[in-house]
Amino acid sequence: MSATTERLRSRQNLRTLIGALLVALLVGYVVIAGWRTVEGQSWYEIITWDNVVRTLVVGVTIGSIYAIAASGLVVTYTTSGIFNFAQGAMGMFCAYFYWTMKVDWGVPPVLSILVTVLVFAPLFGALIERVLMRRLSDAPLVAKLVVTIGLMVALMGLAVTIWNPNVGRSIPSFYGTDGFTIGTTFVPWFRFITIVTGLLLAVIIRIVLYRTRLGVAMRAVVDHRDLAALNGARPGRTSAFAWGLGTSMAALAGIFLAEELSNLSVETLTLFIVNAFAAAIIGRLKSLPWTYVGGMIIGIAIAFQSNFLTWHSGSLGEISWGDAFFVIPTVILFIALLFVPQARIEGRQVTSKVTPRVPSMRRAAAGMAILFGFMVVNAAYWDRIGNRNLTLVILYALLMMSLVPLTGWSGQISLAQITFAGVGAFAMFKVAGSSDGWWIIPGGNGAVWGLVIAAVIAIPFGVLMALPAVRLQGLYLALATMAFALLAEQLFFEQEGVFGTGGKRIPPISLFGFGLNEPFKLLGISFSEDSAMLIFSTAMFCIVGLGVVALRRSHYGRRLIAIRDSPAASATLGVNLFGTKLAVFALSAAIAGFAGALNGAYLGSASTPDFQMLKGLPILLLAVVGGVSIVSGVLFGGFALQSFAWLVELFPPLKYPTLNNLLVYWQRIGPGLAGIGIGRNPDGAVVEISAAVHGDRKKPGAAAAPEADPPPAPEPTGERPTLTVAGGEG
Amino acid sequence: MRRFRWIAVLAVAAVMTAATAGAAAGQSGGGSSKETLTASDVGITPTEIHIGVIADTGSSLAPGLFQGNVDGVQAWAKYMNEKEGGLAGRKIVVDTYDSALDANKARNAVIEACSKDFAIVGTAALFLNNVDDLVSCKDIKGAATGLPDIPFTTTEVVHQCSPVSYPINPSVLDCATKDQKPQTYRGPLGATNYYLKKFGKNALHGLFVYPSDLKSAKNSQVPAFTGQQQAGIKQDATFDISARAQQSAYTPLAQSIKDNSSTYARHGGNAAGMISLMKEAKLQGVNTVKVWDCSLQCYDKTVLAAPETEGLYVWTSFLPFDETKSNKMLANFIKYMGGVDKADGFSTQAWASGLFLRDVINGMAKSGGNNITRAGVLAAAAKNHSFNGDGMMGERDMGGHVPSPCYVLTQVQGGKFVRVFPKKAGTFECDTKGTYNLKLDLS
Repeated sequence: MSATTERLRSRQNLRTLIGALLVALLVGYVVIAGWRTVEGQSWYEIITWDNVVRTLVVGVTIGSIYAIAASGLVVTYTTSGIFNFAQGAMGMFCAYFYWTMKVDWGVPPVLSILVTVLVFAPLFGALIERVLMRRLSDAPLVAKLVVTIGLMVALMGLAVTIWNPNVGRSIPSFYGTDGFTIGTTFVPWFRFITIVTGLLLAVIIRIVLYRTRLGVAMRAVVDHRDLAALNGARPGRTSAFAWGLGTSMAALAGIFLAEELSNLSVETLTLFIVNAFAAAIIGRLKSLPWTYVGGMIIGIAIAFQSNFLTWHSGSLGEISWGDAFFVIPTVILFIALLFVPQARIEGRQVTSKVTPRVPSMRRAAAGMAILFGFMVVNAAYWDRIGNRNLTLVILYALLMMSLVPLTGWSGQISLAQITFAGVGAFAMFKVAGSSDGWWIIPGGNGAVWGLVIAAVIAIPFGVLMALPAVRLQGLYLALATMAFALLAEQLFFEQEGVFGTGGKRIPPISLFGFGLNEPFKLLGISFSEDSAMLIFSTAMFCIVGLGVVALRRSHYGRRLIAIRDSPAASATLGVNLFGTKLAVFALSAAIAGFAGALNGAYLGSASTPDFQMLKGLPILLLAVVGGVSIVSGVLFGGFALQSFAWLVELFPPLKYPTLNNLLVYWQRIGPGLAGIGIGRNPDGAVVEISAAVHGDRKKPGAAAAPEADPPPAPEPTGERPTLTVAGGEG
Repeated sequence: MRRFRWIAVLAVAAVMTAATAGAAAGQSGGGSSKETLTASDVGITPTEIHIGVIADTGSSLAPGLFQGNVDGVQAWAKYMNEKEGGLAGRKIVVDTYDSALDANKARNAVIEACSKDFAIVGTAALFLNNVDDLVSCKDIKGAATGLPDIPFTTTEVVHQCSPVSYPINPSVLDCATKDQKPQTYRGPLGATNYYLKKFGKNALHGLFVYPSDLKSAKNSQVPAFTGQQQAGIKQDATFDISARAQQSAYTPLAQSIKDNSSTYARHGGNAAGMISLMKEAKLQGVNTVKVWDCSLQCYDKTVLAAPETEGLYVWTSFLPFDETKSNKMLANFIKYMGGVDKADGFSTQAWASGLFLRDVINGMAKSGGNNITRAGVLAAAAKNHSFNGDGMMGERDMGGHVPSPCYVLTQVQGGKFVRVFPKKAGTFECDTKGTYNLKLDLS
């Protein structure tokens, strides 16, 4: 066993070394190619003392804010086991509260800060812990992520409801414009305070967590809540304190950031945290000093590029690097994740309270037939807008279906499905929508073939993402996929050869000369424009859905369930974890690519904003809300996602001013609340409803509920010890 | 999804920078009042005319983004109904559509407007990147005449060059060359010539800041900055910066100004970016800049709230809001918006879009009666080469899609926008020498 471990470790060291070398070469190339040259000066002449000082001052200031924000994330994660996507939103909410106190109510700045950071933020954090997070301690990781994403969306909606976003808000700086000078760079006191606070927090919180009884109790509660209680800790109170502490740090980061903004902005303050993820990962989500270093690395890298590099399109060959500076934190995140040690092969995972029933093929086919018939009837009933809305339901559900084998069965979390959809749309454009496309397919059905080709082309992208990511698991995997999506969005889709500026046009799908956007008559019934597209999309959904059900019933499907339930047991039984995971990523990418291609044809165009990472979050959120492990769950998710906007459309402001107003608010907050609701039902609405109807809910310690049809092989249910093959995940 | 509010403001700012003005056309009144009004086209009844406005207002990431457009169009409709007897003898009813920063919702909005509204005005949908339904929209007889569209902003080339769209701020891209390499760009230089005359031909050199969040926003600034440099403002340095950048990110820019003793600084991004630049420059002790230059995105209350912006030059293609005494239409605009505090650049341009539709329809009514059609409106719009919104806007060739050189230059003085050129209230500077005409490949 030890020899095996040694071999794996040395292999891992070699991989790390090769990875470091590749990263160094890449960074070196980018720095050389993007070096800011000034006419009449040698390349090294811009490296002046002033330039270096300036880089450090700016970098350390920006880095300190990142460090504080990331430290809050680490504190929350270390003390509750929850990676809080809403950390930025909570900081934003506190910053707005601070603004209200300081500017609106005229409370002195110091008092405003003290009340916000020491009273409002801890109470706010403790409330969130008590109401939302406490019930998540045994929930699957995906449910934990979705709840925090939901909280983020809900807080953003709530903030703009309370503070009108169209009113300018700025915060006067601490100590005005006083400060001191280093070299030729002036350092105002408010920046100095930010820097010192960041440093002090890293030290103090580290001491609190590792040198005090409270800190030990906080970490013990995460490790084993019941055991900690038996040893005298008070888990509820300890968790609430931890969340209060984390929220106070979020508030500090929000206030410091607000000081640096000319105008408060909900999304700037909220999304700032995404850039801080890299710092938290550098700290391995547990080391505050390293998190601080991570913040500094990001800040100084940003300042360095600003001072010494230029990114004009074409400066690095034919590729457009215009957005390169946006992705610096993302690249650092990706690199940091690559150097995270190989994940431990874990024992039994927390999965779900309910084992979803696996339908027989006959039942699945009957369900699909009912869905198809339902949509055909609707296609005849609705006008063009209604048909388009229903088509979007199906397209959302189809994209969510790509998560069923990946997240629902194998437990791998991906935030990059929207990227594969983008790849599919791009392939569709190249095959069916472009005069300078890759090839022309004879017979006039190019667009139909484009769907298939899109699915095939998305596969290598799925593999490309999976290769570095598959060695990770859980949260690290989710963050790696997020980084992949951000890189694709900012460096790939924006290339002129892909979507470029303004996007690309994709013609409607045509089947044997009949355009699916055209109206038609069948059996004397008139169908409006786009109704054929609804019927076609539903047919595609049904076919893919049946394929997914068949897969679930196959040997491969059971393997996926097995590696989700217990990777260690699966490995012991001879399951090739790497190959199985790689295959499920490829399959998932293919389904997402297919959905993206269909969406491109439906929309008539494809552009970068359609495939931004953040646009993919509601897809994951509502898929989990519906039930990400079953086809009917994602169909429910598709309906839910589209329903928010559709309701607003159904009740226009001219006829229903009050109702419309309420629905607009609901549209802002509803998706977030739905995500938060997952805390109560981690298995999703459809699974819960089905379990309630069939009485499938697991009893503690009971075996999994029987499947509808006799399963070919039993699923693993028992506890398995953790089998450590390589260095721990941390 | 990030950074939508800023992207939007940048995109709009970029497009609006290209905007200019035109000749007077203060048509008034309708056609013959004795004529029997009919439902002459989609969206028209004998008593009502439905006008749509599509705007990004309900996105969860940037709620209320273009609410100003909706407010502007609704204010215009109220004014028209109360003061001018409606439009074409009918009461205006405004249908609002939320495109929510989503290409699909934008397209659905167009489809719905096509079936319900006679025309759409003041549209601000950043992701309207498919105009098929706009161009092929069918009229009451089933002919694909197109839906008359007088948008406030057009970020996508396909929308800028749509045959049925007459943006209130015509694009700087010459649509006839959109598929060529290089393309032709023509637009206003703003107050460049004024600065050069005031401070000396070779006195200005400095910093040009590009907005970097949206490629189309940056591209739209490239011709303007290039034109300024050709006119005589030398470039010392150029930076790309995100609208979400915090103030400390502006330290290198301020230091660059110091290093080069720059006398000129222009930010092509949003008002918040300009404020951050000026704040940081003040912190870093910059004292060489003679001209802090910003176009109409800086005509914003947040600029006045920051004391560091004292001296900033801001040029707009509409009259400053405090000149209500010199222009009746401006006074009406402010009144129907509910006061100066409720008015902004978005609502101004949306209101002006409505006025353009009014001018076109009133022109038709004079010659052919009030039973108007979409086809008739589109044909008449193409012939309108001198629109000025009853004098509240700079004159512009809407039919020719040509930006004009007209502007009013104001300066922030004592927390107010104070007109500096031309001196006379209610007037614009419209010298055709104040434009650029360039060939660039920005595809």
